[in-house]
Formats: sequence, structure tokens, C-alpha cells
Amino acid sequence: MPALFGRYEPLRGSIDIPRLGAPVAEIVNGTLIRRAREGPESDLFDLRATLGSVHVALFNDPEYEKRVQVRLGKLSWVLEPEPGPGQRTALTGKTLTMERVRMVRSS
Amino acid sequence: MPTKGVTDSTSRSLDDRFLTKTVQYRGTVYRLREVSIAKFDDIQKAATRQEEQPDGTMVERFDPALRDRLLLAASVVEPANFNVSRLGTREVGGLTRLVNELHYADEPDELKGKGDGGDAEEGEKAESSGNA
Repeated sequence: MPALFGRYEPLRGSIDIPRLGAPVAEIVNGTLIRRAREGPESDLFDLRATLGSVHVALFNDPEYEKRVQVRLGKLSWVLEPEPGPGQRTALTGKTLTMERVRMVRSS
Repeated sequence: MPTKGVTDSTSRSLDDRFLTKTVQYRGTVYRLREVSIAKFDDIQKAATRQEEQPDGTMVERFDPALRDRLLLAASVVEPANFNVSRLGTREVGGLTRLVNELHYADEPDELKGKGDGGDAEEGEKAESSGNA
């Protein structure tokens, strides 16, 4: 059955370091676009987001594992990058791009 | 200054020039180790963010609370699975005070006089008396 929604916007959310309970950035506006309506990529999304204040050095430091969370209505979702070729996460200025991410309900 | 609720084993020692301290807090034994100045600089940088002002200019904002959090995480050697976000506020506060003590307080008395914690004033006095 084809996925019902192909696009979620506008999104708000946050990026933090769970182990430290430390905030890294705030997502002030984001869009999640489903990569395909059917098939193996139908559970994968691309995120384009504008960040508010961001700790760039912290974001780019691989020592700290980051968690990206977005809110849809009253529910929170963690965006987990799908391992494998084609996965890309890039921060340019205050624009965050994440390609091939999976939405997982936040516990 | 003693931290309430902390059993300080006072096993302060030098580990390859870095001060270490072992304490017990709420049943967990923590081994804390002073970080290198290079790591400290990285932490200061990580806790500083660029912020755009309404007029478009960029200013740097330093977040001391974040610096403390990063310094705490970097200083805890044991337990290996240390996770700050699972601890109580008082426990994090207590550990942060100990980490601050580890990095900013005077050299512990027991480590002085071993050629690794000399008091500059005492050294100067000795030097001046030797010259007299």
C-alpha cells in the first residue's frame, strides 16, 4: 500500500547529545520528504531544516553522538540515519540536510 | 571544600602528570582525571557558539553550563558507561564541583614537595636566600 503522506512540514525539533543531556541546536523550520511512495525506500526520508542557535563545533565533533528529534503534532520522532551508501548529513551555515533517515518514535 | 553526600576516598594522585581523584557518590565509584589543556581548549570552543544579532552581525556566546557538562563527561574515566542525563541534578552538581576542584583548585598538599607541585613563592624565597 502506498505511503499516505509524502511530505511533513513545517517541523520543529532539536539536536542534542543524549549522553550529556546537552543541547546542540534547535530546529526552527524543517521539511521531511519521503524518498518513495512504494518500495524499499518508502520508509526513508530526506530532511531539510533551518536551525536556530547552533553549536557548530559540537555538531561537527564526532566524539559526541548526536540525536535529531522532530515533533509532529504531539508526537516526537528521532531521525536515525540509515547506514549505507547515499546517507549524507551536512550542515551549511544554519541549514541542515540529512538524506536517507528513518523516523523512529521517541521513547 | 567538601561536597555533601560524597565519600571522598582521597586517592588523589598523578597519572602521567594529570591529577586523578576517586570518589564515591550515591553508591557509584567515580574515577575523575584532569583533562589536558588541549582537550580543555576544545571544550571551551565547543561550548561557544556564533549568534546572529538582529543587525546581522555575528557575536560569540560562551555557555558555561555546557562547558561544565562537557568537562564533566571528559573527566570521568570510570564508570565507562557514564551517562550524565540519567543522573539526578544534585549528583551532577556535586560531581561538577569535584571536577572544578580537580581543574581549578590549588595543587593538593600531598602532591606538593615532590617536584611536581612546587609553590612559586617558596621557590623564589629559596632562590633569594641562596643568593644572599
